[in-house]
Order: sequence, then C-alpha cells, then structure tokens
Amino acid sequence: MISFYLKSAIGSLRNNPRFSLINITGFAFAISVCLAIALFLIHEHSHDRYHENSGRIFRLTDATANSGIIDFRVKDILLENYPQITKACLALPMNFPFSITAGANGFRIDNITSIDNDFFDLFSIEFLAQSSELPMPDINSGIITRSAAARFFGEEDPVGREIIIENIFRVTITGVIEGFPSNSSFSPELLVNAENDNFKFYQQNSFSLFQIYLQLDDKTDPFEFAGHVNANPGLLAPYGKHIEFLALKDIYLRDTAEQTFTKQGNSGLLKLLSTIALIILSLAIINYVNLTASQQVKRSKETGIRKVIGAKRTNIIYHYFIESLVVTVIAFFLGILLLKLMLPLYNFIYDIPLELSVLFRFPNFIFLVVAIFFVGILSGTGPAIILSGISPLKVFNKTAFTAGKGQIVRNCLTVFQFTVSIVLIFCIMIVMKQIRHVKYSNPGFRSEQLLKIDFPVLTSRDDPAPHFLNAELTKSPYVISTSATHGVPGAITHFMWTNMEENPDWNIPVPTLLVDTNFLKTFDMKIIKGRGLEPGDYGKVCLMNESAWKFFGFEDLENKRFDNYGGFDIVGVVNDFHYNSLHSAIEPLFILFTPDNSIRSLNIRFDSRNTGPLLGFIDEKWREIMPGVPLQVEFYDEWFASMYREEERFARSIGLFALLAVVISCIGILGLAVFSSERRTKEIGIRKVNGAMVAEIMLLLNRDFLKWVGIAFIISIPVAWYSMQRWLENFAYRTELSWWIFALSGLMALAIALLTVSWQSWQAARRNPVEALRYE
Amino acid sequence: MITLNNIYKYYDSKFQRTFVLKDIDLTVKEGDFVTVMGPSGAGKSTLLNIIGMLDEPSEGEYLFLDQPASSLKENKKVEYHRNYMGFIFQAFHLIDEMTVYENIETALVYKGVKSKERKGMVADMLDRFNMVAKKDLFPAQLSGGQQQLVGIARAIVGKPRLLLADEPTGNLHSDQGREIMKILQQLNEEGITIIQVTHNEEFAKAGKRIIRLADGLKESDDNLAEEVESLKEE
Repeated sequence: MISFYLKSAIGSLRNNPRFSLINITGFAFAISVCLAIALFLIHEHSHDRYHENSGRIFRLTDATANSGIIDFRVKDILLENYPQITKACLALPMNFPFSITAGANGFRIDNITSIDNDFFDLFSIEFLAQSSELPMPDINSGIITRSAAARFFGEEDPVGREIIIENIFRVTITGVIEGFPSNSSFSPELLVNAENDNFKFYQQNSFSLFQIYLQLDDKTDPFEFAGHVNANPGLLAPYGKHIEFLALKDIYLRDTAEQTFTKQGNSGLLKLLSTIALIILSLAIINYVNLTASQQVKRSKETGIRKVIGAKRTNIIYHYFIESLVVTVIAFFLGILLLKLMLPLYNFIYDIPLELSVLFRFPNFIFLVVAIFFVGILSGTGPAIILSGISPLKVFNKTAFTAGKGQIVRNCLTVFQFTVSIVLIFCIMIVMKQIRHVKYSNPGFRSEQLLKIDFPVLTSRDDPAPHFLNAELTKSPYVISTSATHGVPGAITHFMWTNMEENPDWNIPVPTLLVDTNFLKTFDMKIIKGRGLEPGDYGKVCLMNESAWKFFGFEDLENKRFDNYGGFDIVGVVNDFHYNSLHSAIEPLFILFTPDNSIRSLNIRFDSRNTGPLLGFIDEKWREIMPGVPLQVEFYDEWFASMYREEERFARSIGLFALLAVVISCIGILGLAVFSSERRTKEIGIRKVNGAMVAEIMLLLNRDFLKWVGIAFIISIPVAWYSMQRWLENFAYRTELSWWIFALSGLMALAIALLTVSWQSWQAARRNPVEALRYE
Repeated sequence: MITLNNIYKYYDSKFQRTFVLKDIDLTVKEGDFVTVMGPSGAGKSTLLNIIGMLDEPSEGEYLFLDQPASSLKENKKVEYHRNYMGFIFQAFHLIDEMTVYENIETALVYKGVKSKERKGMVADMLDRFNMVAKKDLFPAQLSGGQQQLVGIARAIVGKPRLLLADEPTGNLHSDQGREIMKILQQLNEEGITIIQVTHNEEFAKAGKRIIRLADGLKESDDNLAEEVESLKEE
C-alpha cells in the first residue's frame, strides 16, 4: 500500500518538473537555513556538558553581592563542613591579552586562568604530557594547551620549559593538555597555580576572589543544600553570607551574576535565531501550500478520476500527505548538501566551527526525523483539505475554474510572506545604517592617523622602558606627536572618587585618564573653556569633559578642585569624546595631568604617507628596549570599528536570512502567478481576440499582486518599527528610523514581486489566443 | 438491478427553475445493455451520473440492487463504486503520470486487493486486451483506441456488475469505435450490465435496448432484443 502511494507521489512529482523543482528548492533552502541555526543552537546549548560529571557540578554564586566570584577560603570552609560536597576547586579566568616570553621570542595570549590542582579532578581534561603525578607540583607550575605549546616551542617538548608572563612571572610548564573545545565556557591557553599569590589576580580589600566549583553527591539537591548552608550565616563570615548554586550547564546561557569571567552566550540572539528559523520554515510551508493549490486545475482532474475508480476521501488525503512527505524528505537531503556547501559561510557568520555530524548523533537525529515528518504533514494538510473535497463530477462538467477554494487563505499567506520580507529588508537596512552611524561618527577626537602601543599590563611604575621608547620615537621624522598615558579613549581602566568639596552628592567614581602635556595635541581634542595643560602644571592640574561640566553645573572654573590623589585644580573643559564604544553614553570624565601610575600606552599621531617605515621603526626600537616582549600596535580607527563586531555578525546573519526569506517568498508568489494566469487562460484569450495589448494584460495580471504588497507594507510598518526601536535601545547613540527607509523597503519588496510575477504574466500575455481557446 | 421512479433533476436560479431531467422512470435488469441517446443537452450524461451516484437527483426514488441509493453517505457511495460499478469516459481519463499497468492496478489498490492477487488480475487484463508489451508505457504514448482499451481494462478489472460508458467512442475514429463496441458486447455476454451514452446510431445498435431522451424527457424505450425476437416469430 505504502509503495503504491510512494509510486504515485513520485510519478506526480516527475510529471510536473517545474512545480517540483521550485517546491523542492524552496524547501531545501529553508531546511538548510534551519539546520544551520539548529547546529548553532545545539552548539550553544551544549556548553560545558562534555564534562563527565557536568550534571553534578555547580558554581557558587555570592548571592549577597550577585557575583560569580568569592574569596577562595570559602572552598575549604564548605569542604570541611559538608560531606555532601565530594569535590571542589578554584578557577579565575583572566580574559586579557597577556604577553608571554618563551626563549627569545615574545607572544600574546588572550586568556590565562588561575586554578588549583583539584580543577583536574572536577573537570574532564585530557593530558597529553605530564611531568609528575600532581599536574602542578609547585606554585610556579603551569599547564599549557597543545596549540599554545606548538606556538611557543614549535616541535620541541614543552614540559620543563620556562615561560615569563608579562616580563615578570616565571612559570615552568609541567603538563600539556589537549585544550578546550569551542563549546566550553573556559578557553584558557595557559593555566597557572592559584596557590601562587601572584596569580591571585583578583584582590579586593583583603580578599582574593575566585570562582568556586563544587561537585555534589547524587542525593543532594542543590537548591535545598544552598538553603541549608545559608541557614548558618556565621559560617562563611567574613567572606560572604548567602550563596547559591548554578549548574555548570547553565553557566554559559543562564548566568545572571554580575561578575562572571567565563565566556557568556547571547541568549537573546538564540531566541531571535530560533524565531527566524521558524519564520523561514513557515515561509517554505506556505510556499508548498500555495504552489500545490496552484496546481488545482491539473490536480482536480486526477483527483476526480481517482474518486470515480474507487478512492475515498481518505485515500486522496493520504496521496497528498505522502507527496508532501516525499518532497520534504528529498528537500531535507538536498538541504543537508546545501548546508555542507554553505558551512564555511555559516562558520564565518557565527564565528565558530559548526560540525554537520552533530545532527546525526543519537537524540538529535530522532528529533530531526520527527521534525521532518511534522513539516511534511503540516505542508500536506492544506492541499489535502482543499483538493480532496473536489467532486468527481468536475471531471465530467468541464466547468471553468472559478476562484477556487481557499483563495482567501492563500492570499493571507502571501500577505504574510510579503510582510516578513518587508520587515526583514527594513531591519537589515536599519542595522546597516546604525553600524555605519556608530562606526563612522566622529568620536570627538581624530581617530585617523593615530595609533597606540600597549605596554604589558603589569609594567611597574618605576620601569624606565616606556619613557625611553617615548623619547626614541619622538626622534622619528614620521611621528608628528606622541603622548604617554595610563588609559586611552576606548579602554579606560582607572576609576577615582571625585571628592568634590561643594557637595557630598558629587563624590562619585568617575573614569580618569592619566596623561602628559601632549595629550590634547596628539588626540586633536579641543579646549572649550579655560586652558590646556602646560609643562609646569605637572601633578597639579586636571581637565574635565563637557559632560562633567554639565553634570556638576559649574558656572566658572574658579577654585574648582578635584580632591583626590593629592588634589588637582580644574583648569579647563575639553570637548566630549567617546571613551567607550557608542553602545554607552558619554559620562563625566577627568583627565589628570600626571602619568604617575605606570605608563600603559604610547599614543602616536603620525603621517599616513609613511605608515610602513614608521611601523618598521617602532618594531626596531621596541626590540631594543623591550626584548622578548611582543609588540602590540593598534590603529585607533580600526580598533574603534572592531568594537562593533557583534553587531556586524548580527547584520550578516540577518542579511543572509532576509535574502533567503525574500527568495522563498518570491518562489511562493511565482506559484500564485502561475495559478492565476492558468485560471484566466480563457479570459486572456478572449481579451486578446478582442484586441487587448500585451501591456494591458500584464497590468491586469499584476494588479492583484500590487494590492497584496500594499497590504503587507501597511502591516509591516508597526512590526518593523517596534522591533528596530527595541534593538536600537542597545545603543546610546542611535540612527533615525527614517520614513524613507520604510518607503525604500516597501519599494524593494514591490520591485522584487513585480519582477517575479511579470515573467509569468509576460508569458501568459504573449500566448497565442487560439491555443488558449482551443480546449473549449 | 436499477430502478428509477419519477426522477427529476433541476437547477434553481433566481427567477426560474431549469430542468435537466423530468419525471424519468427506468428499470434496468441484470445483464441488460442499454444505450441512451438524444441531442446535446437532453440530459443523457446527467442521467448516467445519477445512476453512477456521482450526482444526486433533485426528486424521485433510485433503487440500486433493491436498496435506496439516493442521498447516500460519501463512503457508502465509494463502496458501490469499488464493488459494483466501472466507468468509461469519452476523454479516457487515465492518470497521466502512471503507466498502463499502474493505471489498471490503481482501482484494485483502492479496493484493497492484495498485491499478489493484483498482479494476476492486471496480467489477465493485459493479456485479454493484448497490451502486455505496452504495460510500461504512459497514456501519452498510446493511440486513442489503445487508451480507451486501458480505460476499459481499468473499469472491469475489479469485476463490476455494472459498466457505465459516457460516449466511449466519442474521441475515436470509427474503426477503433467498432472494436470498442465489440468488446462491450463481449463483456455484456459475460454477464456485465452496461449502460452507454452515445450519439452514434450504428454503435447504439450494439446494445439490447435504446432509450431516447429529449429536453429531459424520456421519448422512447425500444427493446432491440424483443424486436429481433418478434421479427423471428413473424
């Protein structure tokens, strides 16, 4: 029985090659997009689940401070008091660029994590080499990943070798591990021993804060257990009061703590992508329904015959279901093929390596089969209901087909497709406009022809090297001016209390830049009140930005002091400039004339005609003065642009999906155009015999589609406006939702629709009327 | 087998009622071969459709095998189609995307005949109509006469007791038409009751009885067989 249905389904697909091709292609595209999104979702949701005991591992949250880190001594207190805790360990990932010296060469790594030996008991980590039983036998031991080892030492055995972190801390490599997969929320290249006080990176008051991971035994419920611990408030004093447990598998996507340190997923993006996947799939299903229904004239004859020779309505319904299942299954395999071809593109969009094989692992595969079945049934339902009700009498009476059943439903579906297309076109235009807006808007200083050199984070205050380098570089003919600073626009690390005398409410922590005399000149900033910095002011005066001037509501600068750090007279107001990305607004900022802390950066205004020789010169001087430390040069314009990578990724994925949605919708309206011209073959014939021109007939056929685009346009305005308004809230500086973008997206949808439909209308209008009327 | 009592068929439009069939009485016995004739618009096809349960009479009583057969549930009608009736059409109405073999087989599949039995039954049909070599061809690859043979094979493969033929020779030239008529006569001799609609006087005589319709009314009902009998007696 099944083989009979399969045979007739394949037969009817083969007999309508154009219809089948359009239908299967549309589905295949949609399925490949959905699978790509599914792969990404699976990847994001699989974070940290690869550890053997991931179900029993929890991270401690300091509920009082809503922080993911707490003093390391809490670990031992808990272990001593509660036998329910079978294992515990410390970890503190530091996601900063560190400089590493290995032999004579300098390198940079982006993450060093400070851990204790118990880390390897809790987490499943594979060792490739190990010098002793204990992974880190003493406080200067370090563990390195295979890729970092290859980078630092090449082919040589890294075990026993020494590296220097930030030119100060010596670490001996005692083990090599495989590394962390892309679905791990830890991604360190180097692990160092937390027992070393130098590697207790996060000090606050007299506390050394760490993440604490615990493994609870099978019988212990984490929620109850946390309540149990909290019932004993003196226990953790003075390190903390209330604690909570966050399951390891939730750390990536559901961590609400403020200080997390581990890699965080974007659950909003995941929701958005799931919605897009569902929308694209529904567009494809709508297409199938519309296209199949557009075959009504042809299919109703066949259905009538089947009924006359003994098919029940249920038999007919089976036929349509099997047919839609065959289409979805074929499209599924094609979709996988497409996905395989497009995987590099998706990897580029998502920035992670997606693996196709994940789809075929045990639970995913079952889910996939169910989903495909579901999609097949869902697509078959419309045609089955519409076409199975046809009376066999239709076969005998050659009555012309009227509008037909389900016309209203199909028009609604088409309007939905257009609405989605217009909204997506609109969104992508706004996203692109906003990215341009933030990327190329004036940051308040001249970011072109300006670069910075960063010194290692832990460079000491007394280190003369930065001063040497500064002096050397000013000698270069390519350099216009240099400024040594602690903190730069784009990366301010220093916050200070203002201690303003006038009003205790004004004692707020503000970001501060520590600069030298050349700062304003090098960055090309303007003084809008008062004066700039002069050599004699060293350590005595400071500037504030325009926002601070407005915030404090000063009328003049007389006797205004910034009373911290020895006290500074406020002598001038500088124009507002962006010291963060344009996600955040400009707030009060002080610029102190004292690079009293160590110099962290050297900012260089240069002549762009000589960029090459300048870089060579910098490199040469750096090697002389900072041997073994990697040089890091960043151009301000490029660096500021790179702050919008997440948005650009977002724009890329939305762009691709918008394009696909438009393509799929076009396939759908093409189907409708075929249907309407087929249905009106006779009308067209008669009109032509009576002298209608091709243009008039095309107008007649295209008029309906214009109407639908119009309706879709009206529906799409509020939807698009609301969703983009929400998205723009992420930015302090927003582009406008201009009316012309609405108009443009509507026009684009219209143009695309007309182009698609006109092809069919053109063919219908040019057909010889004799041919059309012959069948009567 | 078939009894029609006071059958009316009409369509109501706003101001008038258009009659297609008026007060038709008809009895067809098992083994009969009835030809329905009449000018275009006389109601021939409608009558055939009502007998074939594809259309409903507006008024009147229809008994099929002594069971009331008007206003039946859809599934009940399908049961009658599967087990008692076969249809042949002027335009053949084969399913284009299926081969000759599959077209014949389809009727049996719906009837629920098992695969092995089906094979035998279809093979018998192909044999009977000398189409074994053509079983894998599609309808478009056959001549009109051959297509109609497939149509007949599909109609009788389920061993119906009644065969309804709506101008079976209308799209064929006369040689092919004659051949089809010969086959219908053979089938009738084997016991199948046949009701056909035709315009062709020559083919009309292939039956045992001619009913003439005009404007929805039954004009005459001539029993050819009785005529022949009475001629012999004379």
